[in-house]
Amino acid sequence: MILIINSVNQTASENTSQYNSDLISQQNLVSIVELLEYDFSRIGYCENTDSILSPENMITYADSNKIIFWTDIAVSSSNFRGNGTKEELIYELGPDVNETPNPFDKLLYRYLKGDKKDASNLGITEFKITYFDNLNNKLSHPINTKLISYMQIDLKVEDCYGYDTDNNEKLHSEKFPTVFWKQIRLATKNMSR
Amino acid sequence: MGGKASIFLVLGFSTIILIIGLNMNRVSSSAVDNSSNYYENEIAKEIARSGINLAASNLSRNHSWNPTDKKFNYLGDKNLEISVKESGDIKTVTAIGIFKGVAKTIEVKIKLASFSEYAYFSNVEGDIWWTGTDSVWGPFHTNDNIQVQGHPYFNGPVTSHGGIMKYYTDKATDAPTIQGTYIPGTTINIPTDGITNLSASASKAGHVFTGTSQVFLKFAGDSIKYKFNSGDPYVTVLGSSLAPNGVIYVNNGNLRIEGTVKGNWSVGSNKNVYLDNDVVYSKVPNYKDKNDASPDLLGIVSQNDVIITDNTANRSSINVHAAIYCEDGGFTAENYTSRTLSGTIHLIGGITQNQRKGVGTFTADKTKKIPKSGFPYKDYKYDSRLLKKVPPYFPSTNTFKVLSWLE
Repeated sequence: MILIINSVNQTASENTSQYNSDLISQQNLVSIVELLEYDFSRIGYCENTDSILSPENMITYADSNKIIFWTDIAVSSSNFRGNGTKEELIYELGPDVNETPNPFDKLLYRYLKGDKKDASNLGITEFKITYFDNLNNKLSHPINTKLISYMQIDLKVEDCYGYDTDNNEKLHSEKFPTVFWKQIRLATKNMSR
Repeated sequence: MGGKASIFLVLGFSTIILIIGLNMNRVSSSAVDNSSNYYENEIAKEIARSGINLAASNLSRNHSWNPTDKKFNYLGDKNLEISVKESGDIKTVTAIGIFKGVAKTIEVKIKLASFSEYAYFSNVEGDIWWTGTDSVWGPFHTNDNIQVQGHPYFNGPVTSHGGIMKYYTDKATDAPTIQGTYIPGTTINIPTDGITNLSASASKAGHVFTGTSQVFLKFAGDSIKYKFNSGDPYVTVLGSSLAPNGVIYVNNGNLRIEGTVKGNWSVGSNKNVYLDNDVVYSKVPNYKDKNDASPDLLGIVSQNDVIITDNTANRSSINVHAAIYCEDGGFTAENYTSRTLSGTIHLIGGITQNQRKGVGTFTADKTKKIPKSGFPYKDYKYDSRLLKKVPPYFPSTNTFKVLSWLE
């Protein structure tokens, strides 16, 4: 009887943990995606129309996991307009965290140029941007930012802590629930002016 | 006793299983909530985007469109709200999309575009190709296909009516470099009333020359000099007195211009406009700086052609500072197939023409480009100020351009 109870308890704990991990990863992914979509839709935007740059100058740096672009950050959470002064916003994938059981999770930094880097660990294991020109040709490294017209963003989020992480018989994906997001999109309406 | 224990055991297990079940259920519900919330946000955003498109469509047909009933039915009852506000020449279109209680707002600032904003605009390209030695800086549009040979360079937004990029040999050999957006499938018609409107503006508060087959007009600082025959002496008047609104128009005669432009002017004719010599700004702007403070701006508007005269003054290059508009014709050089080699056209401004025309010729072998006649070299620089400034009453495209898009 005790063995049965123990077995039921173990199975229940494992399932609960797995489901919770799935949920946390999914919540993290949605949070990141909503922020990404919000920021990327504002590439090149400035409330002061006289300060708007021409499309080829809106992105100032681009590689596979870092991008710097001009935007006008919202005044507050209740006012989505900018204050009319454009700023350079940076998205950058940092190094491995090394403080969690998941060996691949990294920090995704989002900060204004000149500000301190800051990020929380949301379990991002992949943040990759692929760039395309006007004629849908993939741009090769080093990226000429003036030619960017479209971007593909690949995002992978895994649970940082997982379950039964010491079990060497389990695959990485079994220990750390994973969610993906991929989008091919016009970088921003402001770039197609 | 054993029976009671069994009951407690069953009840205990049932409670534990129930709690576990509820927890699993909560997790599943939260996961579905996440997905549905994201979906609802996206749908609300798409409704708002549709609202912007709906407003743009109406505004393109009626520039003063502003819905009295601001609420529209879209994927639901009154789920879309559109409003248009005006501030000077800028309209702010706001669309709010609502889906299942989630509201998303998009705000777009738009402005009527003028042909003066184009570095290059043509209705018909004819049999002229953009080659590897050609580059265009600034907005480009053609209602024809873009014909490319040997990787020409375009720096600025490129639009064309034809969805076809016509390659001389193939894509690998000829594909252009475009720094900026490329949007095929866009039609911007040259209006049929651009000259008429300019004439009306000149009649109101400018100056109209009538009853003469030609007018020689010379910009000379604050003065405007004019005469009707080449051998006549010039009549000198204060420019602001001759045409207070800056528009000078020749009705049923050719206009021949030259000189140093001071201030904002638009000059035109319902015949041809000839460039008899350099036409330059008194304060030459930094063409790369759209905020340059030079007070000088010139629009040259012609019903037919704008023509570089075949004369001595124009045999060793020509400098033209202006936004040029040819409603039915094009920008060309007189006798360009037979005139002597005349150097380079140095243009700071832009060209809008119905029909792309030649200014010089080369030997038949396009790859070698050996100059043969006319102006073999073009040094066209886009005056970035034209993105913001418009010469007086310069013809409008009657289309709106997006200044900023905010989600």
